[in-house]
Amino acid sequence: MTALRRLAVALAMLISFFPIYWLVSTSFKPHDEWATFPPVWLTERPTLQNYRIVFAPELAREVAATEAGSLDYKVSASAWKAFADSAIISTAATILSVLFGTLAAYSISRYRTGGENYPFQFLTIRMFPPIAVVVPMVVVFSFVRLSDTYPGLIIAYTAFTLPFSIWMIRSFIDEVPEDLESAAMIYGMGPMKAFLTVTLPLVKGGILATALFVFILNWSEFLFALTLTQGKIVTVTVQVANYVSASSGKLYGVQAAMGTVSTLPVILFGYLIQKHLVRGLSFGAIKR
Amino acid sequence: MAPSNDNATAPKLELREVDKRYDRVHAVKRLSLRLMKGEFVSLLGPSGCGKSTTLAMIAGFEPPNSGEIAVDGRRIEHLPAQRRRIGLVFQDYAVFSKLTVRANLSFGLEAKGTPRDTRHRLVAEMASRLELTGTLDRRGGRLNMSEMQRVALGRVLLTEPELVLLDEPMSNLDAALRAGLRSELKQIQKQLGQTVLYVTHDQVEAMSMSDRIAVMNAGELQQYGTPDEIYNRPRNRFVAEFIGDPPINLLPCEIKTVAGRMVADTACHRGLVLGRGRIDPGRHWLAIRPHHIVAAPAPGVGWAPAIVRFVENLGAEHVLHVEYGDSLARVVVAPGFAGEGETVHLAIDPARAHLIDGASGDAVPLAPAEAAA
Amino acid sequence: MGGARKRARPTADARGNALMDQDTAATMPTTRIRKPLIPFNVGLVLPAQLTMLAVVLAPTLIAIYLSVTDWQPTAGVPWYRAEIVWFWNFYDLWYDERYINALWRTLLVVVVAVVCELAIAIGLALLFLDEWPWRKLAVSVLILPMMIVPVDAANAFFMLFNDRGPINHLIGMAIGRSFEFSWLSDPNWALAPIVLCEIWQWTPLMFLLMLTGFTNLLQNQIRAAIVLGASRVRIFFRIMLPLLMPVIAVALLIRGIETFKIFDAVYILTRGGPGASTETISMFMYNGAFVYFRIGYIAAAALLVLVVVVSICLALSRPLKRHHG
Repeated sequence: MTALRRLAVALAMLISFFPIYWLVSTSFKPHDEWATFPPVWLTERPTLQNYRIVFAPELAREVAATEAGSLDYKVSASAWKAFADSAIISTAATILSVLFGTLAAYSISRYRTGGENYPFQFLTIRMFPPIAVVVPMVVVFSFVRLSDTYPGLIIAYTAFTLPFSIWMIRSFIDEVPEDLESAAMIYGMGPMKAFLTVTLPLVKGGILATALFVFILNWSEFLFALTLTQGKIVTVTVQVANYVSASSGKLYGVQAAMGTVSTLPVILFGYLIQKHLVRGLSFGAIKR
Repeated sequence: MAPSNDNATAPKLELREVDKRYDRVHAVKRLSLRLMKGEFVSLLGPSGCGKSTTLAMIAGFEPPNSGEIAVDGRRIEHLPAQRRRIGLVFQDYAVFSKLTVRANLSFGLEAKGTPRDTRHRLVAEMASRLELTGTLDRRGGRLNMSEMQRVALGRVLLTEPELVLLDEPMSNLDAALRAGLRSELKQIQKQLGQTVLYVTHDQVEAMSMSDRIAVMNAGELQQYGTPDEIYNRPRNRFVAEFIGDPPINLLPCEIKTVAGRMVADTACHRGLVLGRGRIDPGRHWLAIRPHHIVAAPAPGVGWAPAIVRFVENLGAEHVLHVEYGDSLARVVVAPGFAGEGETVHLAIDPARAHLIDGASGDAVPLAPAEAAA
Repeated sequence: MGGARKRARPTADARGNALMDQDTAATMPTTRIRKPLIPFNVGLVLPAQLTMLAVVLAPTLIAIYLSVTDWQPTAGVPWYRAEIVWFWNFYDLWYDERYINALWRTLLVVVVAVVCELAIAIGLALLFLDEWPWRKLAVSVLILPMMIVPVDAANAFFMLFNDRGPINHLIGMAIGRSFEFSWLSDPNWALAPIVLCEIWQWTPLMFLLMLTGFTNLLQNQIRAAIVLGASRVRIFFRIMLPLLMPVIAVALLIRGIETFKIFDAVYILTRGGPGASTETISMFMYNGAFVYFRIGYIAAAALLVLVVVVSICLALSRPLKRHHG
């Protein structure tokens, strides 16, 4: 029984790990090992060439000429640009989402604003397939000149992460007894000041976790980034997709390198807030 | 201290030198305990004294680090909890909230593979005995505390366990409910002749239901005896202070030996003749229950005056907190005997007092003073 | 919503007034009651609410308008002057096999993926109920897939399921002869990598949900069942599973909704192809709007989906509510 259990756990760990291993290991493979048969499990000639191409696409032409003449490196934007765009948009949207979310969560938690069902309307936004909203949004955005701009994507990201911010922060605030604030208010503090001086310090860890969580969502977002931009703004996810679709997806090493670097920050953040992931992804419904 | 009927059959439950350590805590220290068949024994102690750990080891949730646990003389430490045939009633009753009362009651029988007809009959019998017939089809989550307790008990009794362990089953209840459930529980236990080990921190429960009480503190057994022995002959300071309500008075005293007899001087009383015993002269404790200090309105020979600081009204009796040397002593009197600030006169019955060694904290055995005369 | 707000107002006012009394009592003895234009607590939700309305309500209204037009950005007419075709879009959708198929296919993906995720997750969680060395590390490794960017997960699967990728190689090793199969270009099999990618990435979340659920279970009920002599299997089905039901319901609801939206993996792996054989509802709408530029038609399709999704969710959101208590 225990041996069987160990085997099951080991197998599950292997399956969890393998695709990521493959992504990372391919990113270090030289061009001629990308698609050999049988596949190369672990390259003996690791190279940083793929990463160089990701960050400096102009290199690709030389490489293409010497090593892979038949391959067509279509992606011309550097990953630096994608990283910068993703960082700007994700950070701004995260700040807005958490700020608005904290205010709303405080109001909902302490004043029962709008009654019991009110917070659920924020969840409806997570129920829509975003593509259903995107189609009219593209029309609106091009009408108000927001498409392919930072504010456009920031607004969209803020709105679509608000349900997480509100519900997650609310669940943290709910855990702080309201009496603490009442006690502060008896000494003459206003409600906002009582919240800021008494409750906020107690939930700031939770708010930080929420911020990281929302950042991960923003960074990982693909559909809006794909449809609300026309090439001036390129997020990391769109960059990855560009590599996959370029040359009918034969740029394995380069696309693996792009995939690896684009996912690193969120893996880091993900493990930082590991114990809050369940709460976040269940909108605060399931807690540890 | 040990039960006297060694000649009879093996005890129902025997713990021999059972020891349990966690990382930093020595939870149970070489505990030995024997329960005879049909006995109701309480494991009494403050929270954190190791009584719950003891229970967990008997039930099979915690392995002891050393020592033996035997039921009917057969060792069970190596058996998994499933196969120990020991019933356990949890503090929160742990009634299966998603199952009906009927399914709760028959759960253990189903697990044992009892045939359907027998199961139905036994469940119906138990339900009527415990007055649960009307609730049989209700979900466990929708019961009140009294019903939950009876379901938890009935569920365990139906499996005919060798031994039933109860883990503070009354601690979640209102005081009013407790008295009723206490007598109910005791009655059921007597009817069935079931051996019971009852864990509690409530001395009233232990005193009122038990055949014997094992008092534990800090992982160690302090005293094991009948409620009478525990109350009237505490073995040490801890037992003396833990048992009894209002709590016993511990009066500092000076002991000298006069003509082979020990004589105690307290702050207010001099020359209390305690009897014969062996103790180093010096400062010790005189433990006397508030009921055994006599108060009178007028002075007499050997009576000491004392000022009443405040009065605790218990209804049937009053507890006077009187100045006694540097500290306060408790004296039980009839209602209306004296008010705050009044002076009363106190006498101590030395025959009811216990002498506790100031250094070791153990009670000093005393032979009656008359024997020396 | 308006009614609900009215109900909340007295609380807010009572609290606000109580404070104001203290403020005024300290500074000025006169009674001057300011009535704020917007109650304090309503003001606090306004930024969030307005963002929501701007990004959901406005587009939805425009979607309703577009859905009765046949507007295409390539037609040369601005969208607000598009020709009104009334309900013909909806009529066409009803007979659009590609749309209906995409709907059914999406439901199939949802059911298969979510059921597999749940089954694996419960099985795994059961292995993690008691302490064992390296348990924490094992959990950290097991949740790795949900940590990575979905596009990158699809990217990895794109390479794994390549003609000459490791999956084919492993199958070849298992059956003992060379195996080469173009998963992503076979209409019958292209959906498999997509579903597997989804399961791979999101089983960890289910696993965490179930693990949390199990550890929050009333341990004493399980212990009680143990001392009553019940076997592990009986305890699992009779005691643990019923107690876990609320968590399972929440997990199914959340994952069901998320999986219904599936887009990233489809886009990266197949773009809905070959043909339309892996087109999910999101992919169908993307292709319709951004490949064929039939904005009016897709707006109508989107509205239908919204109606379906919202009504299903409202019906199912009860367990979530009950859980929040």
